[in-house]
Amino acid sequence: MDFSKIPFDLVINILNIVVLFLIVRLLAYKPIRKFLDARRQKLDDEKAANEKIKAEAEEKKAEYEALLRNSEDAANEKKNEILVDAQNRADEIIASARDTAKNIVAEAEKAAKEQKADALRSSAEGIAQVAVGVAERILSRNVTDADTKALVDEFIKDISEE
Amino acid sequence: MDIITVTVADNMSESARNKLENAIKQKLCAASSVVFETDPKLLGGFIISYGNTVYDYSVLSRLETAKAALTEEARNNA
Repeated sequence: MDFSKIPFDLVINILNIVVLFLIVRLLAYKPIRKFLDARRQKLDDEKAANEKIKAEAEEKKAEYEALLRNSEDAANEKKNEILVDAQNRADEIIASARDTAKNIVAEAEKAAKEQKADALRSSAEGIAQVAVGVAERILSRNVTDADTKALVDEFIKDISEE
Repeated sequence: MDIITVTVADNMSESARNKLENAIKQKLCAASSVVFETDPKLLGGFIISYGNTVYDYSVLSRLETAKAALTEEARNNA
């Protein structure tokens, strides 16, 4: 084999590259790898922390939304209760007003009937008094001796029957 | 002697008075003394009073009775 034909420079370069590679691998690879691992771990931790914070925020948000929904439901329920109470109260007031009006009308009708009856009674009594007055005037002029004797006969008959 | 008071209207005739006095003495008390008084307000008839007893046969009392009956009837029908 003729070693003189072998490109010596090329061999040297190859050896240099190999030695350099070995040196670099020996000296730099592990620290760099360690640095990269640490950096990756840090990024992973930060990512996990961020996800945890995000999850907590989501949970809080869900709690607040639930609380808000509950508050709205409670407010709506309270509002409905107030509306129902108000409606019931309004119905009661209207019913009471109707009863009062009915009573007023009934009392007015009763009073009108009583006044009418009083008027009729007074009128009838007045007519009776007038009739008696007329009879009195007629009798004061027209009582005859026969009438008086008839009264005497009536007295005799009554006293005989006692 | 008991006194029987007879109040009569002023239009009572003497014969009617006698008839009444006789009836009183026959039916009530013969020994009583009958005293006649006149009251024009009676309109007719008479009122006999003795002791606590009163016989009212006056036209005025009949009118009062009729008036009361008419008034009562009017009240009931009103």
